[in-house]
Amino acid sequence: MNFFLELVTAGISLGAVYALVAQGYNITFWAVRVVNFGHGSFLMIAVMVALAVVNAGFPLWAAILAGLAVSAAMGYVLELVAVRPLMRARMGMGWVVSTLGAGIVLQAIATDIWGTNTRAFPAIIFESTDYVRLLGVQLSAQLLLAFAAALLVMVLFEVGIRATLLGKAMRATAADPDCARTMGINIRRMISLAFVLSGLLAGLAGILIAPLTGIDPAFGLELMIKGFVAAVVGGLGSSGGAMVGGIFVGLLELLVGGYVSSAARNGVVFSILILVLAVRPQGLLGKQPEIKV
Amino acid sequence: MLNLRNVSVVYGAVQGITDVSLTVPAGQVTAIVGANGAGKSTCLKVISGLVAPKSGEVVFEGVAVTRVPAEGRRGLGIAHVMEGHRLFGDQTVHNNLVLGAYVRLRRGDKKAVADDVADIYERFPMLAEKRNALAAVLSGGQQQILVIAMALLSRPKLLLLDEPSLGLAPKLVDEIFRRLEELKRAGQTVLLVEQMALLALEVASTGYVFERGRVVGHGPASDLLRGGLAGRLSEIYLGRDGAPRPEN
Amino acid sequence: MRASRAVPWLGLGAVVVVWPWVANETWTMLALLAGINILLAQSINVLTGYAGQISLGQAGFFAIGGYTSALLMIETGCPLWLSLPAAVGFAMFVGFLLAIPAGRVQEFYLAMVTVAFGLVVQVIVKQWDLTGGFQGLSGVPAPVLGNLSLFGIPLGERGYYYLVVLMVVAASWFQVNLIRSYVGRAFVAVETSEIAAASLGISPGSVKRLAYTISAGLAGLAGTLYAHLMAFLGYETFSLWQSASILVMAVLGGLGTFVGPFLGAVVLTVLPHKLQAFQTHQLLIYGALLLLSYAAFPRGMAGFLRLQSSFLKVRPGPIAIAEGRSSAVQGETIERIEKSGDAQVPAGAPLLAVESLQKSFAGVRAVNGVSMAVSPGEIHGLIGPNGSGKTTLVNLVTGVYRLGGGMVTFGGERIDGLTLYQVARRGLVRTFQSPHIFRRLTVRENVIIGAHRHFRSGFWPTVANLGHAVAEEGEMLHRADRILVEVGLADRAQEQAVDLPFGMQRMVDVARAMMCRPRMIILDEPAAGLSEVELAHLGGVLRTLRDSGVTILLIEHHLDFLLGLVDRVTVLDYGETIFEGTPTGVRRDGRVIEAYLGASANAQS
Repeated sequence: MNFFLELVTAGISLGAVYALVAQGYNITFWAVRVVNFGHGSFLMIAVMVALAVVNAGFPLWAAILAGLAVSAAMGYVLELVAVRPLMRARMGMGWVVSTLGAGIVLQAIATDIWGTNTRAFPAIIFESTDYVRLLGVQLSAQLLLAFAAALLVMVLFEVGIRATLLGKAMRATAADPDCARTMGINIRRMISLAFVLSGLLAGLAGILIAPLTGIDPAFGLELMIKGFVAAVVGGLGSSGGAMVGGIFVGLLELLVGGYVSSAARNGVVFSILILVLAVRPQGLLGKQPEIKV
Repeated sequence: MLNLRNVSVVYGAVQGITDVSLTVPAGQVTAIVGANGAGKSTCLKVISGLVAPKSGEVVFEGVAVTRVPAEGRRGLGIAHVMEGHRLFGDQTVHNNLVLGAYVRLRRGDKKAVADDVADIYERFPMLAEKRNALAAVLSGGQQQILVIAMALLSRPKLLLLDEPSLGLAPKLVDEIFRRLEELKRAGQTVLLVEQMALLALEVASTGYVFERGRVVGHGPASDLLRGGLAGRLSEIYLGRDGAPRPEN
Repeated sequence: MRASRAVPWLGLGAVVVVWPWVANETWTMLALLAGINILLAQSINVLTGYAGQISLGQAGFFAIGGYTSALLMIETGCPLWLSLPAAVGFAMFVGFLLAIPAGRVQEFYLAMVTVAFGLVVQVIVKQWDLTGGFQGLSGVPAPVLGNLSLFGIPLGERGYYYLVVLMVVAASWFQVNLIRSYVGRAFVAVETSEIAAASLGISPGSVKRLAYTISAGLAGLAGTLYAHLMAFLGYETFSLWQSASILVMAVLGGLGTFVGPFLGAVVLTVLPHKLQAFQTHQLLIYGALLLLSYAAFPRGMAGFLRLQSSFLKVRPGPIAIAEGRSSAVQGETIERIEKSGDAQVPAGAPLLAVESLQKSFAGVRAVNGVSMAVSPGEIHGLIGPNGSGKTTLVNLVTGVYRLGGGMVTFGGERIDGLTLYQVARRGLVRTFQSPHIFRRLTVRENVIIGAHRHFRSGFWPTVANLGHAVAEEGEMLHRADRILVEVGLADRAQEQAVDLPFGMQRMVDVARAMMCRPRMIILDEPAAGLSEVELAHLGGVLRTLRDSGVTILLIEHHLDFLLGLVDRVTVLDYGETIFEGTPTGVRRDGRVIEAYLGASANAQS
């Protein structure tokens, strides 16, 4: 029973991080109906930069900030180089290829600078062996921290989007760009901002996971796919869906890993994606489209 | 206040409007009437910046604003109420009003905007009632009032109204036009595009008649109404066949 | 093909044939790899270049092809001539399964699915003992091990080379025949505009599934050839990176062209080998190519060659305008109605009947209890002020929107609940407010797509260019030409349709709909943007169409044009019918006039 509860709590915590990744997809999807196919590299770059800064002798908190700043900046650049030129030319799916390309370029640069070896990321506040005892269950403190941080960010994001003028303007841009322009809203800046936020969330998710797993320039890939599965399961474009989907994926992954086999974890999660799209493409909380052909 | 000089717009291979010139005097209501597809909405989009003209100039308060992007024109005092009462359905009525005042809020006029919003709620109690409802659940007529209120919250110098009667029941159309009269009396400059030509020309001082992208007639609204334009309009809308005009 | 044009091809062919005799081992190996890469690039080209879908998991099909054939031979002693088709077939089957959601979700979802798919395959290959797990699968029968034979003949390196060449040539031949057929044209149609394709009876979901299946098959074939070349399969080969490389080859070479995959594959097989710098920075270069290609050089290398692709099986000749126009079409169309097999109705019954239709959007009633009947053989007008519900009504009738209430009958059969392409297949075709011209196709090719639902040749006869498939294409082409004469586009038949002036594009739309041999056509604002001359021409075409038995429902704002053409008119306002009757009557009806002009506030009623 304890084993089960441990898996469940770990799954939920992990799921919260997946929710952050999913939210990163949601933001750009709802701003311009684009999903970053290079997201994995954004998850990775913040971590690699932070690691480099720590190794250069700076305190951890500064390193984390540096990493986040870089992934946020990359989001800005991505929009400028890979998305905006293609939106103008109305190239249907070109952005899938260009964002994928951007991800690969980032990964190549990271590999050039830091090599391909797996490294350990320093513990954030808690060591990997720190545990908290709750109702007789041992919970990894690191995972709890990840959960708390992810939850906090999601809540802050929701509050920000609803309560601030900027948030309202962003929602307006997503809903009806022309109408937003007539209100005086600079939609280009809003879209840029969406990508910056997406990069920021990606970086944060990467940093929260990093102490738990080893990192190498390829580590973002799995996280990217699982985050996408979470987004789709919950319903792409829905914040609540991101949380629900994330927790679902986290739970599924750890329960399968604990009771079936470690090797089957990823296979099962990736297969869920195919299943959901075949059966209920709008996910749990998404909306069904009106037009059918 | 506003001048269009020889403006032409092309959409791909299609001519939108050709060589259109018009003047909107300050403090008055000017109407643009004509059948569907005649280019009326295109005119408004050129003024609000959503569409760039192939040739011609848009001059606002003596300054050429043709190069100013759409997001900059609200700040200049041009408020465009789009066709089909487009608003932000996924946000509350209150949020929509706030967004209407976006430019002023960014400038820091928080107090003045709050006062204006309270004022709007007084003038339109229906909006106050629904202030926390999602804008999408409002009826067509209520949405039309909301979008006009949103525009007014920017304290516009020029109000562009695109087919406010669209899709509304006759009673609601009456109400909208009554409000329009109020605005007129308060001295608001309005450029009104309407398919309901008779109604539009009754509230306007000047009228422009569009047909297939060109101005085919203009003058004082009363002249247009009296001087048999009703018959001419009927022809424009319903085609000529020498049939007698309807009883009025 | 004329002699002068054949020479470079023959030269190339000669080089290919003698290659293994003149080149050293390394270069022969490179040629073999290039051949395999050509197939991989082609697999993307068919899917993305023609059908507009994306796959980022080709490595998965590559793996399936390779492992299936290898394991069949190793575990069951199956001969190559069996294991190869079995492997390809299995890859196609998996591709088909993966594409089941294809009709229902946007492309990028499928793109993510293909990523996930590729990773799942890699995980399976890595974990499964049967596939060799971490160590990989060795001992795959191959020339280098000396244990590969085909039909009893042992295959050495040279023999295998010719096998690969044969496979590439065969696959290429199939692809050319595919693209130059109604199937290939349907791919291009769906890529440009799903809704326009559906309005002519093409099922976008089926097209996409077919594209994925073929793509998977090509990648599977490549995988099989690769397995028996290398004699070894390791999980590292089948990574996302591999899928991305395949994508780069296709994009660099040029998507949507025949030579593109050849160019891309050859260049990107040879370069990494010859340039050390290229190899060290391969990841970066490939990433940059993907990042910039769509924006900077969307047509890839093939784009610089400015090639003109044809999508017709038969070379079209000049159109003989000598044939008397209307009589040719008239005779044809009367025959077409009788033979089309579409629904007929008893005399006196309406062809299209709409009863008490309801539709609301977010609580707002767009259509409120509209009923309308269109009799066979008439031109029926549907008018009303902006926002009165005309287009909504048409969308409801043709299955684009779900009904909120009421029913729709066509030819005596209920059609509400059917989707757009299903409605079109029953003989009810529609056009849209702006002409949805299929880019990349000539006028003639655009028009011939209209006959899609009438092609009887099956898939395999079509890609094998069997006699009757070619003959059918010729027949359809002939028909298309006659229609082009009728609508006055004969002299522009060979031009790219998007280059035509707007009014002519509109006629292409109409011609395409005519080609579908419909019982009824719904035209949504066809007069918008047309000049006086073009309008008169359009009116003439519509009258001829009506005279030959096609029923027409015409939505228009240009009332002069419409009222001079129609037999009866229905007028909508606020989603309700306010008038149904003759054109003369409508001009005088008070309600109609009020609907358009608005009741004067000062009027007494």
